Amino acid sequence: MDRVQREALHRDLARLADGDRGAFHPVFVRLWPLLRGFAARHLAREDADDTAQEALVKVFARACEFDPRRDALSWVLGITAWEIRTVRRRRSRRREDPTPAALDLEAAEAGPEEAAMERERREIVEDALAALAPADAATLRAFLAEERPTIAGATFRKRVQRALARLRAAWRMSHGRP
Amino acid sequence: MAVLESVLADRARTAYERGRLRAAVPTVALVVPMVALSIVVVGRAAASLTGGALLAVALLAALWRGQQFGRGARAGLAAGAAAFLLPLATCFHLCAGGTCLAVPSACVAAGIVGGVAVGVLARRRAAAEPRPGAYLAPAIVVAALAGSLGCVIAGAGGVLGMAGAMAAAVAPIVWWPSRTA
Repeated sequence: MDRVQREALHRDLARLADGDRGAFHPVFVRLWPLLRGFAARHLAREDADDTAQEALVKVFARACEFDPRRDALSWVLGITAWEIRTVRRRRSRRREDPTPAALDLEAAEAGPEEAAMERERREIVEDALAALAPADAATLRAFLAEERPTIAGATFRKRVQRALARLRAAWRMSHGRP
Repeated sequence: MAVLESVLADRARTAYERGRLRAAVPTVALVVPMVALSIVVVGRAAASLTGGALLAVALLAALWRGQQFGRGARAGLAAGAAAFLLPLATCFHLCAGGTCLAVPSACVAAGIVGGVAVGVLARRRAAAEPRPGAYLAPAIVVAALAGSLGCVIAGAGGVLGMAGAMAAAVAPIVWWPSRTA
């Protein structure tokens, strides 16, 4: 989106926030392809369209909260990013490790406090993985599970390194510390 | 526009309208303590509830519609707060033997105060508003309804006196020619 389009989006969204229904169509026409593309870059194809639709509906539901002193594009992408994160988290929960019962048993043997800490640690790791691209998350899961990759060992190690670097960056952004 | 996009646009429009209604609720909720205070102080529950319901509907409609209507309604609520509190305040200071002697004149004074406040706010906004009437009408209606919650203390005559005084106070301020004109 170039500067002119960005300014036009800001102007139209400010009008919509004020209650000018005439700005609905221009905002819709500008946002739909933008959010679709944004979701497609961060999610698998089967999830991208649905997520973009949900994000678009949420943007319009919250349009009257938009503060014209803020940047419209950042505001819209913030709502969409949150929606993407929610979908990823939901996905990662569905794909959870098939051996949680065994882990819980080990943790329970170690005592209730340790079990709670272990559960918390696992939730933190899952949250962090959910913030990554699906390919990076899959690489790290395979690495943690010590699975033998079907690709060359050096390639896999390189992917793990890159995924870990992105994980650290995402962690720093969401928690403000390494 | 494809079928999917048209369905999506309908969903987005519905979400937008619902969002506007939801955003109006906190402001409309201010009517609840006003009505409660009116009932507690005045003791005419039916009149206070009717005035409160009308005020809530007017506020909700104007805030949902937005633009000048929403801004006018907010200004009217602020201006009407004085018109609401003034007659109630007299009840605590100027009552003797269960009769509030100064109440009718307090309602007229409340109308003048509210009207001046609405007029000044409308005049300050006149340059920025493309349709000043769309700002002024909800401002006066909301201010008068807010004032009526306080003036039920003097009955229908008090409410009418307050409304008349408000209209008389607002008119010259709004229509007085500005120096730049």
